[in-house]
Formats: sequence, structure tokens, C-alpha cells
Amino acid sequence: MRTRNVRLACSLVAVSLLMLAGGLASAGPEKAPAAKAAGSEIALTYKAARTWSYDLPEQRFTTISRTIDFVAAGGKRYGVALEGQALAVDTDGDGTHDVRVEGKSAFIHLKTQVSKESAAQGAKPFSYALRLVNPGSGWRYAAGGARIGKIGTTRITLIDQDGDGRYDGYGKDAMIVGRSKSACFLSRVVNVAGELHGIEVAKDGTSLRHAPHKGPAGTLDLASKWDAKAKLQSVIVRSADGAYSFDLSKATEGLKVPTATYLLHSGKLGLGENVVRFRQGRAKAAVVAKDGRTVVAAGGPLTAEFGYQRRGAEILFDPAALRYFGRAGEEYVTWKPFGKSPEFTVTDTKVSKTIAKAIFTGC
Amino acid sequence: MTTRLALALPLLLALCWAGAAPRSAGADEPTEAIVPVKVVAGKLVVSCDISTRFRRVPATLFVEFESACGLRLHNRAASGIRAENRDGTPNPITIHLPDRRITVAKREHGTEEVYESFTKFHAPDLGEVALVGTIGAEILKPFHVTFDLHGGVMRLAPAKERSEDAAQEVEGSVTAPITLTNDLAWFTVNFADGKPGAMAVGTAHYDTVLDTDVCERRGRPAGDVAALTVGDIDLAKYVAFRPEEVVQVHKDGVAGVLGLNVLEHFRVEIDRVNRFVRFTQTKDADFPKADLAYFRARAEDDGDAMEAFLKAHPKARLARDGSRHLVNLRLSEGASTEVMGRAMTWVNDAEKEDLRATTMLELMKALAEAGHTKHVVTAGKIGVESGRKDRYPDAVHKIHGKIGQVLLDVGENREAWRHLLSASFGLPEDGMINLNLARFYEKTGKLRRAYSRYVQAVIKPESGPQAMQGLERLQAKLPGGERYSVDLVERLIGGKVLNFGTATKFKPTEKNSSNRVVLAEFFTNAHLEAAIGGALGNEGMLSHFPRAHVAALSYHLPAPEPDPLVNELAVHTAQRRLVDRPTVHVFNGLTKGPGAARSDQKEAVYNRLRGTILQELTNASRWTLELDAKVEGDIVRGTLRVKGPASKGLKLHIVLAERGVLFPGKSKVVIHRMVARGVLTATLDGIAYEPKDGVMEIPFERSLREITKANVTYLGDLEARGGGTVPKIAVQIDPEQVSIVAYARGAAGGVAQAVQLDPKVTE
Repeated sequence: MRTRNVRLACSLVAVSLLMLAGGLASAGPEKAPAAKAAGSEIALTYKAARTWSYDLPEQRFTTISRTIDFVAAGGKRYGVALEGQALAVDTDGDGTHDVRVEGKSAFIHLKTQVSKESAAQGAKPFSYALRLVNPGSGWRYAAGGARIGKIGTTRITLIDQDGDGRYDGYGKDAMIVGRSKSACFLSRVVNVAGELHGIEVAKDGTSLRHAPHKGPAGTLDLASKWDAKAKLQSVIVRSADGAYSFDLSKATEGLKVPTATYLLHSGKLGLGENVVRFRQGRAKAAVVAKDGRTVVAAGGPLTAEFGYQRRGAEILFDPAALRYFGRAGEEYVTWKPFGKSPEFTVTDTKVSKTIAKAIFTGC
Repeated sequence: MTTRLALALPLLLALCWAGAAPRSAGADEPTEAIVPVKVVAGKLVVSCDISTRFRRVPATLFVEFESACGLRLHNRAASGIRAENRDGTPNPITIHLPDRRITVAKREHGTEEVYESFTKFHAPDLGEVALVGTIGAEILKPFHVTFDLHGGVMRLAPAKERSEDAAQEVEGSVTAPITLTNDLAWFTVNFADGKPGAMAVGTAHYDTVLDTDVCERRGRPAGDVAALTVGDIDLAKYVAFRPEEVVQVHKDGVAGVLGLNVLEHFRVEIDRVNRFVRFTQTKDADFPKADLAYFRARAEDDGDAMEAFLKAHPKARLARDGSRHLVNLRLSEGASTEVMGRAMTWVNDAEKEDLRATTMLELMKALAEAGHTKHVVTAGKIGVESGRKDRYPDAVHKIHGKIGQVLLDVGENREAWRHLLSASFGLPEDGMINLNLARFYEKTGKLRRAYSRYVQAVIKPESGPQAMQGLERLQAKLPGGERYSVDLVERLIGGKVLNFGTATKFKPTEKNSSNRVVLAEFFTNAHLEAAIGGALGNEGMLSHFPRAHVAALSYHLPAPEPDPLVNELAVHTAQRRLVDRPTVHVFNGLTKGPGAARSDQKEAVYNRLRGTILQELTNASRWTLELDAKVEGDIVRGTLRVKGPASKGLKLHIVLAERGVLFPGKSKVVIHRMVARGVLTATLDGIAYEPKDGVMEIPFERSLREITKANVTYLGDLEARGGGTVPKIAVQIDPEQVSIVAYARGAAGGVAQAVQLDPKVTE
């Protein structure tokens, strides 16, 4: 038995993102300037999201073992224990389990009050909602709320994506600018109504300082040339150093961003209830130069790659070994519902005769 | 021969897949089918039958003109008509509508929770015929469809011929051209400023939706645009638009999707061939001010605004949505008990009278999970008031049970007891109610009553582990009581749990047996639901074959989630036997048999295990194994004596097991048999067989506490590696339950011979 991989270029005529990026590479990446201490400060209020509707670029659930530890974030160590199939949680950090969670998913709220004396010494109450899931392999958690405020009239939403209880993880935590539900990574610079603002988030997420971004900027456009029959719901890019991140899905004429080298991270296409996600795959970096305009053509037509195995007179195709790539090299994953099966045709080239056809069943 | 592979790519970004196109059948069917439909709780539904060549059943289906699907079906409904064969190949399904039969090649999976919840809450409106699926665009698009909801019908006619005149204006109607994009029929609407947008014809939702981006751009987050016209019809005079994200694309820009509320005012005819939609008014405009008030309150995202809406429109269609939204807003605001109580009363009052207790029970569960303990009791007390009238009689008992649990936790014992007792009258076998009653009796010193309740709770996975601890505590306190043991619990729960014993016992003869003792190893997990069938089959096997012929062991693996009986030995042995799932039996190290099945398949599992053992029993072994062992206090010691020829690679294994371990997991197996706990040799890989004069003796000695400690450490390491949380119960080894299994295993993995002994126990 042997395994071979066959790569097919199915009428792919794509703009080479590599060439495009190369042409602009002289601009070079810049170091992210920190937001200036001056500027305005806005308060961010905590809001639990019982009905979770945010779409995060890197959603992760952390396995719960003995405690949920938020000490470093100003909270406590919240004990957990299994009681039968239920998970008992100490939600106020007083050492006793006060909430019992059953089923496959749940939503709980951790809260720690502080005494007047502690408050006088700068201690702050801690509030943190958790989404809990038990997919059958034990309980896991992820943030179940967000810190929300406004720069002008534009809503800013911060989400503790990495689950450490803090909100200042640039390039790790998540944020939304505006009323969209699709989040990008927490960025040191945000685009509010077309203008760039440098931001600095308090680690507990209670406030955010912002000031006009004075650094060089250009325009990055991934939406206008995206060829798809579905709605582009999110296109998340992140600078190579993790300092900047933006959702470009609604920027049909491009979005003003700080000069940097950007990598496509992930995104989502939707059509009614159908959804497909994409990730960087083989997409090359896009460099945005000062006052420059970088346009990336992505989407269809797609290239499919698949592997097969020979076993005697049989040829085996594995759905797990089938991959789809877009024009820019982005890879399409997590088709929902699972897409129509491709049809495999086995041909004897000597006599130009079709020997067999096959599809994946269950599609 | 050279082969070349070519790949016919699907339309990759047009994601829908609905199998082969539907066929409409029947020469006896009229040209136009008039199908009665109705709107139930904001969804368009049709009553029909569905069938395959095997069976025909009545069904209720959603009608979703814009959904990218053919026929979606709930798994239970699909199973009922045998929509798929055992190998997964589909059977054609026929939808029997009045005057029309439509056959599809295969079904698609439906959103089961949505269907079940809809049936639960609206069964009387559905004529008590369960909602089990959806008819979507793939079914409807071959037809010339007319929705006349005012008349209560949907008309399905064959697609029209292409005609120049078809799309002409008809007096009293508005005819608009349509475009077909992604299978949706789109017509142009114009906003008050004259700007156009595309609106899709839809029936999946009651409200006509305006895309949130459109609403935001127009500064109308509540969707209250001044006008939205098609021809001379201003839709904004008929309905309030619901702002929602519309996940669709159209070259003219997506405005929204038509809802049933527009279709209730107009007969809407869609001709996909001649590309037009025709609106004919059937009902006068009566603008729903309450709907608009709700969308405005929702856009404000503020509890006071939502409460003001409910006060102004307490009987409104959207009061139910509004009351639920209000609770979420108030919880986010950290509202006081009084304010939360008011919000929850709105939830109760906005619900149908016979579903109020059910609704409040669901709210209680959500509140309890979120840690809002004091609100749980308030919600429960509101729900109890409607308990007697509720459609689901268990709801009120479950509410009492939840209230009792919360009150017991906060020390209001007497009040808790009142609620728990009330709950137990209705649900006498509920694990948590019995457990909480046991806790109450234990707290108040009524130990015998507590003991009785713990016994009833111990067999349920949700309450079993805590009940085990309770029983152990009480056994020590009860005067003259028998020592707490698995055997005692097994007698107490007799008849309450699933078990399986065979009517016959194995009778060895010269033909059906030899000196061979078969080693039967069962790989399982206490939380694997399908483990029950394997465990019952195993139980049957143990009851049929005496230990002189079959030595048994079970190993618990950490998938799908770890249980306390998992240990290093189990995982190591699984690797050696090439077992990757806790779903198999392995005989004599090589031959595999089933280890997972439904409980009603236990006999089939047992028969297969028995058949395999009978085959293995006739293979005489060249070796004999003799065990001599005893348990003294915490120490198990003894000797394994092996006779037989030297054989390269043959290794001897001595395993300590427990005959019965009490641990109720999700599998519903309460007592686990012959659980391998650890080895009595220096390593997991056994000892090389090196006989002198054809004999080898291996003495062994080990502390039970030491084995337990090693297993607990292993579970801790498993947790630390992110394996999840494992309760440390059922980890202690009961000396009375100790059994020892020894076996000789060859280099190729086969087991040459085995032996089992239940050692004597001395103090």
C-alpha cells in the first residue's frame, strides 16, 4: 500500500498575493507605537452575555481541573468539584461551592465583592461571566461577557478571549469596533469612523485611553475583490507582530490601517444558514505602506487538494484529506452543512476510458 | 495501467446540498394542489404524512420558502420511516400533501432541539402531531407557488410556460420583477429617499426583516424606516420591520427578507419561470404599533425601556420575547430581588396559562446555573402558582424539587423539606429529590429515613456519587448495621437497576472444554452511554461461565471522559491490545468482541461473547497456572505457580481486581465488575517466564493503599494534563472485593493461559 498526494490546479487564475506583497515590501513593517498617555479615557462597563452571539477569531475553551484561577486578574481562585455529573462552583471565592451546573452547557457568573477597607486601598470588585461546556470530555470554560464603552458614538467591545481574566492581551484578546458581532484581536490602533485611534486598555478592562494615531497609515482592502456567492461576514487580519488587528469584511473600499505587514487570520462566509470558515492557509503576508493601497483578491475559484491510498485493486479517498484553497491561498474549513461531495473520476489514460467514479457518502 | 484522477469540483461557495431534485408524482393529482397551512407561534406549518416504502407516518413540517434545504427531518422521525438503511444509504421519502405527493431522494438532518421545543410548547396547535422537519427551497422551487395565508392555503402548481405576457400588471395587484440569486426570489423595494434594495420572498419567520446594516446606515436601529414600497404598496404601513442581520447577498444590496406578517395581508404569487412576484391585498392594513414599540425598546438595550414596553403592551404578540429579554437585561444590570421578581412575573404572565410552570422551571434552571440563587426561589414560587394548570404535570414537582434544593443549601431546612416532600410525591424516583431529602433527614438526625433516601438516590448518575458518600457516613452511625459494602448496596438496589443473568450455566464436557481458562478483558468507561449494553452482556457472561473456565477483567479508559476507575494499568493494557476505544471485549489477548450497545441489545452482545469463549475453550494450553493468595488487613500476598515448557517471550502478569465497584456513571451501570486496579508484579509489562524443571514460582505482596494512592496520583496527573475533573470516589479498594487474575502472554500478544482466585480475607 502506498500513499500519494495529488495536487490539482482547477482553472485557478489568481492574482499572486506574494507578488503583490513583494512589490510593496520596501515599505517594511514598523514597530507598533504605544498609545500616548495623553488623550481621553472612557469607562468600560461589564456586561454578561447570556445569549452569546459574538464570533471570536480564536475561540478557546479552557479545561477546568481543580480551580478557575483569576488571581492575576484581580479575582480569586474559584474552586470547583464534580458532584455526580454536575459541576459545583464556588462563584464568590469564599471557599464553598454555591452553584451547581448540570447538562452539557451552562452560564455562570463569578463575582467577588471587596470590603470598604480593601476598596479604600484600591481593591476593586471582580465580575466575570463564564460559558461552560461539557462536550463529553469534561467541563471547560470561556468568557461569557464583555467590557463595553464608546469612543464618540462608536461602540467598543472588549472580550477576554484567552480566558485569563484580563482584557489587555493585544493580539490575544478580542475586540469589536461598532455594532458587528464579529470580533478581531485586541488591537493597539482602532479605526473609528474612518479615523485611527491608538488605544491603551486597563488590564482589568474597566477603562480605555485613546488618542488620535499619528503614525503612518495606508489602506488595506480584502473585501472589494473577494469573489464569493455568499456574504462576507468577517475577514480578520492581524499584523505580524500582533499589535494591530482589524475586521475588513465591511470595508468594501478598503480600511485605513497603520502601516505594517498583515496576515489574514480567519473569517467567515455565510449564506442563510450555511456557513464556511476560512483561515490563513497558504495566504501570504500583505504589506501596507505609508499612504499606499494594498488590495488582495481572495475567494473563488478554489483549488482542491486531496490524498488517496491504493489498496490492491482499490483506491481509497479520505474526506479528511480533502482541502480547499482560495485565490489568495486562504483555506476553507468547517463547512456547515458539510458541502456537496466532489466526484472523483478514475480514468485509464491509455484508452481514455473512465474506470470508476466515486463520491463521499453521507454528504 | 496508468490511472488519472480528475476532480469535478462542486459549486463551492454555493453551499447548499439537498440531494437529488424532488419529484412530484401522481397522474391522478390535480394541476394545482391547494395545501392547507397555518401560522403557529410565528412559523408557517403544514400537516402531512411522510413515508418510505417501509412505513408512513403523520407529521407536521415547517414551510420555509427561502431555506436552502430540501426535506429536513428529525432523526427520530427519519428512523421511524427507515429513511436510511443500516449501511447509511438513503431510502426515497415521499411527502404526502393534500393533492400532491413529492418524493425526495434523501433527507437532511434537522435542528432537533428546535423541533422538540416547538412541539413541546405548541403541541395542541399542531393537532398533537409532532413537528419533525422542514420543507425548504429545494422542494418548493420547481413549483409555481402562491401563498394565501389569509385564506389558509399554499397553492402548488406546475411551473408555468415561459410567456411574454405572464408578468403583465393585473388590476388590483402589484406585479414586480424578480431576480433569482442563490435560489432566493428577490424583488426590488424602494426606501423613502428613493434608494432601492433587494428583498427576498420568505416564509421562515413571522416578522419581515430589515438588515441591521441598512437600519444602522439609515439611523433607524429600530427598523422604523419611513417607507418601503413595492409598486404602490408601502409595506411600512402594514408591518413593523425587525432589524436583524440578513446573511444573504444580492447585486443591488440586501434590504431584507419578507415575513409571514406581510403574507397575512397579501396573496403572494411567485413565478420563477417568468420572473415575477404578484401581490394582491387580502386584508386591510392595521399597523402593529406594539411590534414597533418592541423593536424600539430592543434597540435601546435598556431594562427600563423594555419594561415600559411590557407595561404599555402586556398582551402583545412580542410580550413573550420582551419579557425574556427583560430578564436578561435586568440580570446584566445586577438588578435587585424586587426588580428581578417583577421581570420574572412578566415572563410568567406573557406565557400561555398551561405552560407557565414549564417556562418558569426552565428559567429557574438558567438562573441556578448563573448562580442567581435567590432569584431561583422567586422564579419557582411564581411558577408553582400555575402548576396545576400546566400541560406537563411533572413541571410543578420539579419546581418544588429545585426550590427545596436551594433552600436546603442556605439552611432553611424546614421550608426546604416541605418543598422536597411535595416534589417526591410526584416524582418518587428522581435522584436529586431523594438525595436532598436524604440530606435533610441526615441534618435533622433521622438517620434511617436518610439511609432509605440515599439508597434510592445512589442508582442515579446525577445523585449517585453524593449518595454513596452519604451511605458510607450513615452506615457507621447506624446502630447494629451491616458493614457498608458493595454487596450490601447491591442487595438494597436490587430490582431498581438494569441487570442481566443467564438462565443456564456452562456445563463443561470433554468436547466443549479443555484445561484452558479464557481471559476475557472488557474495555469500558462509566460515562459512555453505550457501555450499558456491553456491561450487561459481560454480566451475562460472568453468570454463565464459572471462574474455572473464564477469568475476567475490566479496564476503564479515559474516553469519552475520565471516570474514577481509570488507571495507568488500564491505559497501558489498552495500548498493548491495540484498543483505542472503551467499546470492546478482548479474549485471550487477540480476539475482539462487542463491548458497547444499547441495553436492549444485551442478549445479542452476550451471545457473541459466549460464542467466542466457547471457541477459545477448546484450545488446550500447554501451561497450568495456580494461584495461592490471601488478604491480611491492607496487604495482599501470595504466590503464582506456573508449570509448562519454556517459551521465548512468554510473560506472566498478575493483576489485582475488585469483583464489584459502586460508581453510577452516565452509562447507567451502577456496579462495575472485575475492575482491574493494579498489578502485583514489579512492572506493568509482567515477568519473563523462566522455569526451572518446568516450574516457576512468583511470590507477590502489595499494599492496597499503595495501589489506591498510585491510582489517585494517576487521576491527578490526568487532570493536570487537561483531562478534565474526576471525582475521587470509588477509588478505595475494598479488601472483601479483592480478586486476583494471572495470565501468561506470548510474544505475539496471545494469552496462553489464565487463572482467577478470590483470596481469603483475614483481619
